[in-house]
Order: sequence, then structure tokens, then C-alpha cells
Amino acid sequence: MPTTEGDGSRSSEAAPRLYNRLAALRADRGLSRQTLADTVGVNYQTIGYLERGDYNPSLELAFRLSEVFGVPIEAIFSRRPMRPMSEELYGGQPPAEAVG
Amino acid sequence: MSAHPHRRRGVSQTEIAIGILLVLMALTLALPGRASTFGLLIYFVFVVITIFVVRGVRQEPGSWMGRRFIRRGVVVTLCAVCIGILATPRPIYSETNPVPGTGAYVGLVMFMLLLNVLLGGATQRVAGAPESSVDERQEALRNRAHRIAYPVLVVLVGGTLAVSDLATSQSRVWLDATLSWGGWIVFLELLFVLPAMVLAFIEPDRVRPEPGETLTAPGNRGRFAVVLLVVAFAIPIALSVLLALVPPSTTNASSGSMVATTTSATGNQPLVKTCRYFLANVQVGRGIQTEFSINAVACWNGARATESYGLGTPDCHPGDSVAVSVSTLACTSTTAPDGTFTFAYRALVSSSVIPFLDRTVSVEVVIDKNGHVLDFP
Repeated sequence: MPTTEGDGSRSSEAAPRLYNRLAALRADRGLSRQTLADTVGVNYQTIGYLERGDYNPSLELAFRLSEVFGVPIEAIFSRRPMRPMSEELYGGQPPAEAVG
Repeated sequence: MSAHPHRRRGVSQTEIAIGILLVLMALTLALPGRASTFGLLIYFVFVVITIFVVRGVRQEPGSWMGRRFIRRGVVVTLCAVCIGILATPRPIYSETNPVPGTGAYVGLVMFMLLLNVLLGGATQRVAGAPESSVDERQEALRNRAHRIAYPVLVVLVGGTLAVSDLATSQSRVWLDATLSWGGWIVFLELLFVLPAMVLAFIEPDRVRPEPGETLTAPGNRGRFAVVLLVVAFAIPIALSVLLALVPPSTTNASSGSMVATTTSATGNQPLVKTCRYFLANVQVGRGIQTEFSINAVACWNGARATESYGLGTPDCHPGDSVAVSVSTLACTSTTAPDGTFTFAYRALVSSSVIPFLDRTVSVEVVIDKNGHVLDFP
């Protein structure tokens, strides 16, 4: 899928794919795309394109998203496919309470 | 005291101004003669206002126009319309056919404008949006569209000019004709709209709203823009219908009788005849309108009525036309065996906006051998 660079200086075909867990974070916080878009000051479609991997954000936008969710940028975006949050948190093991 | 939550929105000053403009246009169009063309000037002012209002609307396109293949379809259609405009023969002016061919031009240009509006809606007019109203993704997309569009424009225009000028003498003739008409329309279209065409072509499918989320509900400005657009396109169509349906208005004038004396072919005896000058001016349509007139000097001597000098096309005058094609079908003068003289002018009148809406308009002057006017508009 073609993507565009945040600075708009390079063609989409040249940009590397950036994986993200925006949709999961947004669902976790109960935020709609429109609310998130308004919070970080971008168009509704831009959030959708970010989630779909059709657009790579600028560093500025990545920082703003990181501030909204209160997590580091690398917890939202990655150059490698991202593991599910549960796997990140529990390393693939069920939580202790669930086992007990 | 808090405002009532369901209070109706008041009428804005812009809406009042546009309402006054429309009333003024309707009144001006109702005026007879060339005064009604002022209505068209008001219409152009209305179109300019509509363009500004429509350009200010940046709401999400619907699910159809959000799809890339639909947008690409609009772009391809727009390209086809441009080619159609370039291929339409150049109108040739003549006495009997003042504006042939403009029908295809006006129809294609109106279709092109409609596609431009669609394209603008589909791209949220990002291609020409100011910096303050686009985000970083839209700005990047817009920059990319401009980077692609202008080299393409240079290659298209420069290539066409160079090839046409160098290829054959026929292509040079085509180039001369195109540069004075359709070529300029297409050049301006590409100059201003090509970035939007490229943007519509390259932007991926738009993200659909999540369940329960509505993005396409138009705001007041959006609804207002739609109303203005509908009115802007409806007016020429309505005026074309008027051209086809409303009876022509005629003004006429005739002189008093004048006695003329000539000599017979043998030159021995004087021939006395009485003559009158007849002038009729016919106006068809309002705004989209045409005028034509006949003038004839009819003479009679109690045995037969004739025209005093040879009838030719100069006696049938196609006048000024605004977005109307006029084709003269007949311009005849005949004297029947009973001595009745008939001078007839028939013309086929069609709107340039809707060329298949046409009508035949006839004007006749009929005078019997004793000078009684039997028919005069």
C-alpha cells in the first residue's frame, strides 16, 4: 500500500511501511477517530490513513499522539509488525489472577 | 436566558443578497429586447458567488466519491470532455447561421463544470486549499499532486503545440482553429484543475466512518452551496425551456402607402403601383435568446402584389443571439395566381445549452393584390 512521508518531500513508494497500534489504543481509551483527530489537530481521514498504514506521520504528529495516549512513540509506531498489547504486557502468558 | 435549542437558523445577509440578485435577474430577464441580456450579466455574478461559496465547503465526500476508482472515473471522463472540446469544430460565422456549433461547446463546458464540482467535492478541494485549512498529510498530498501536475501540463500543452505545428499542414490548421476556441478552454481547465485531477487519481480510498459515526451530514454552508449549485445549473436549463416553449414576442412597423410610377417593359406607358414598407422584429426566448427581423417593400397594383425589388437573404436578418443557434430554413417571396403576395422567413432556433430543444419560428407578411394586409406579426 502506498504511503506518504510526513514532510511531503518524498513520494509514497519510497517511504518504508510503519506499523502502529493506534486503533487498539484508541479503542482502549474509547476515543472516536474524530475526537482523536480534533485533539491532535488533523483531518479525520488522516487518523484513518495512519491506522491503515497508508500514511507515515511527521515527528511532530507522532509526539502529539504519544502525548494524547501517554505512551512513548515506539509503543505506538514501529518499523516491524507489532505484537498484540496482551503479548507485550504478559509475554504470551495468561495473567496470574487468571491462572489462579 | 439561554437560547432555545431548536430555534430556526436566521437568514444570513449573504442569503438575502443572493435572493435580491435572483429577483433582479428574473425581473431583468422579463424585459423585452436586448435589455433581457442584462439578466445574464446578473447570472454571471451569481455564478461567481456560487463558485466562492462552493470552494469554501470542505465536507467529507460520500461513500461513492470516497472510492478511488470512482474518482478516477471522474478524471477520465473529464479528460474525455476536454478531448471532445478540442475536437469540436470551430464555429463559422455567416449571415444565415451566426453561431453554429456553439451548442456542443456550451453543453460540453457545462458538463465539464459539473465534473469540476464533483471532483472538488471528492478531493475536499485540497488541491487549492490555503495552508491554514489543510493538515500535514493533506499538504503532502497536495504538494505531490502539484509536482506531478505541472510537468504533465507542460508536456501535454508543449507536446501538442510542437507536434501540431510540425506534423502536417492540416494539423497546423487544426491548431489555429483550436487556439482561438476550445484550446483556451482546455488550457485553462488543465492549468487550474489538473492538480485536483492528479490528487483525485493518486489518493487512496478514503477511510469509511466507523459504525455509528456520521461524516457526510452537510452543514448549513454545505446545504447552501448545494442549493446555489442547483440554481446555477437550473437557470440555463430553464431559459432553454423558455426558448422552446414561450411564444416569440414581435415588434413591427410599417410605413404609409406610397405611390410609385415606373414604365412598362416596352417603355411606352407608365405603370402605377402602391407600395408599403414592412418591418418585423421577432425575439425568441429570454436571456438565452435570439432576434431576427424581416423587412420587405411590398407593392400592389390591383392585379397582383409583389416585392418592389428582388428578394434575397439580406431581407431576412438573423440578429444577435445569446447561447442560441439559428439556422435559416426559408426566406421566400411568392405571388400566388390570385395576386396575393407572401413573404416568409422560417428559422430553426435551438438552445446551445440543450441543443435538442429547438423550435421553428416563422414570420410572414401576406398582402393581397389590393394592398390589404392579410397577415403581419
